Amino acid sequence: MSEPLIEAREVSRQFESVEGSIKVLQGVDLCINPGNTISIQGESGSGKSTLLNILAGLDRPDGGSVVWGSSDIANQSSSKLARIRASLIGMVFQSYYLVPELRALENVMLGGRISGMNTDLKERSKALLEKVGLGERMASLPATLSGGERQRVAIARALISEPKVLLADEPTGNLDEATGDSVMGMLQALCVDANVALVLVTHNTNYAARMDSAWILRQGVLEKGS
Amino acid sequence: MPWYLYIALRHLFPQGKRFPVYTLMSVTGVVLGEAVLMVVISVFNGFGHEIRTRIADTYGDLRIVTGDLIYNTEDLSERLKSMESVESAVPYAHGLVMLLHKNKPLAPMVEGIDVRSDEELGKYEEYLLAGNMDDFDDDSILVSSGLADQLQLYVGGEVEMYTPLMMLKLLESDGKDMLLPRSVRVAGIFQTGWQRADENTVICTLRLMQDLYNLGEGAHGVRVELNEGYEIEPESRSISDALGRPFFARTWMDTHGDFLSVVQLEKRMMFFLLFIIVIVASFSIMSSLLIFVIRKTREIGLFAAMGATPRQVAACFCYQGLFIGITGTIFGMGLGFTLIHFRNHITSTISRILGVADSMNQIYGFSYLPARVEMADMIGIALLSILVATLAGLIPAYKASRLDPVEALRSE
Ligand SMILES: Nc1ncnc2c1ncn2[C@@H]1O[C@H](COP(=O)(O)OP(=O)(O)O)[C@@H](O)[C@H]1O
Ligand SMILES: [Mg+2]
Repeated sequence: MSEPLIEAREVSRQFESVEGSIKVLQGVDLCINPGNTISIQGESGSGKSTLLNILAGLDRPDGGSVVWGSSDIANQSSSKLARIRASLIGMVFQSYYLVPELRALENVMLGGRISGMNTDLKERSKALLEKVGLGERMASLPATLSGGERQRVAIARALISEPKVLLADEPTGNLDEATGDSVMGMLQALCVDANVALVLVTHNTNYAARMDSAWILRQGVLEKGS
Repeated sequence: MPWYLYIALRHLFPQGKRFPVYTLMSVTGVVLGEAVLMVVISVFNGFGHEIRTRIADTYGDLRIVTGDLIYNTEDLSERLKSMESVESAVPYAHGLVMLLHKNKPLAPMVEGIDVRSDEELGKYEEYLLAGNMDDFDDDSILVSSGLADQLQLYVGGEVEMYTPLMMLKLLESDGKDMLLPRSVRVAGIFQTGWQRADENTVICTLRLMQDLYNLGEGAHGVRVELNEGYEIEPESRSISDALGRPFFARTWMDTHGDFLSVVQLEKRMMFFLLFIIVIVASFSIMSSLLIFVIRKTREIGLFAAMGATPRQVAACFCYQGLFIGITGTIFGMGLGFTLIHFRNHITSTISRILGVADSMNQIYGFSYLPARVEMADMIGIALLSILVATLAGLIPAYKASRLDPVEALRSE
């Protein structure tokens, strides 16, 4: 088997607060292989977002290590990490985070611009928006789009840079069930299509069950889900 | 176009909004500062230039002297006129006299000019407030406006003139001689707008001056006007060299340069005072960009998640300062040039509304507001405004680049 894209080894992370330190992650092991789909469930506040941020190199663990490909990211500068992240990882969030000043197409293209994937960017972005079913809304500003439509734009923006891994933090958390289902279906199909590994944080057991492997974050460690 | 430049432009000029208020406010500050600076500096340059021409008109560009009387002025004038840079060369004599009118004495400077030269006459004609150059002859004088005021002189009136020579004679004769003043007619009253000349000056013909000062055919020097486009300082040196001893050239800078340096100093002070407007504008840019960074916190976190480096994030906000500076400067220049162009309509409208017509003429001796656009000044103002606006973007940019992406994404 090929080497994992991202590997977390014994990752721990704690936060200082007025009530003392909160140990959020206490030795998390996770291995993301190319094309793998993984779900992570867990109660609110269990540290799912924290784990995704650490996997993405946005946050640094207090203990343990995160390895991208074959290199430990602990001793890399944040600019170096940013440049690698641009081509390795795409991220999708619960509340979309579209740039309100940009039209749908421009939001998608921004993902390509930042990661330096500029060749045929406009054509590729248009094609991707067609794929997520927004061929008619390319010139719309985010404010005029529905929640489901916004998340589709956000997914297209994350995938335009052709990442190896997509980290999705409760992508359907703000959507009603029917919309969530269709967005989820589309997300999974796109990842399988492009052979992108998917880490899906979700509260929905159905979605979780559709992944290759399912995990539950409980008391700072990952347990095998059913 | 790098993405941060693109985002900077989009932040400033959002899609689908025709009226970017924040941008407009920031830009307006720069526009006003830039325009005011341009107008004031140009008016100062205008004053400086006007005064310079007036000084040059009354003093001449250069004066060729020997330190003694010059008798062969014809020769000298011809030699000078044969030079490429010289427009005219006429002899002059100068000194001090005492005027007595209605028992009030004053001792003005007197300058004897060569009335055979039409240019000489034309120059003073321009500055005449009253009287006529045609009446100017060997028995009459032109008096400056300040002198006319103090002695209550009027055109056509007579005034008694004493020279130092008369006093000397009186002294030598132990008071036995009678002191007989020369009675002259006032042919005209002039005002140049140059305070120093307007206060206390008498112009008479060279012949009268030679008579009064017992100069015979001699003169104190030759006044030289240079052709357009020749610099006074270097030209004075080369003319001095060309004439050789005992002649040498003096410029009005040597004698009256201090006055112009005052104008220069005032201009510089006004520049620094008014530059404060630009600095204030830069603070408003800074505060609106800081607010903007805070509003855009989650977006900045998102940029990081998409692979943006802190340096690129900083660049995004730096460029906004730069764009505001450039846009403000361009429109400020437009406004500035418009104001400079219509300044006289504007000032006359204002004085008509306030009912203080012609106050400018009374105070400055100008019937209009002079202005002169010096390109070097304009470019300097523009570059400084852009620089200051860009600097104003640095602090917000630094703040944006230092945001922790995780915190930024968590913020609500
Ligand atoms: N920067 C922080 N400072 C203090 N506490 C934090 C910080 N980030 C996260 N936490 C705490 O860590 C815990 C896990 O947060 P998070 O990873 O967002 O949970 P989840 O995404 O699973 O809901 C929460 O209790 C949260 O309050
Ligand atoms: Mg979360």
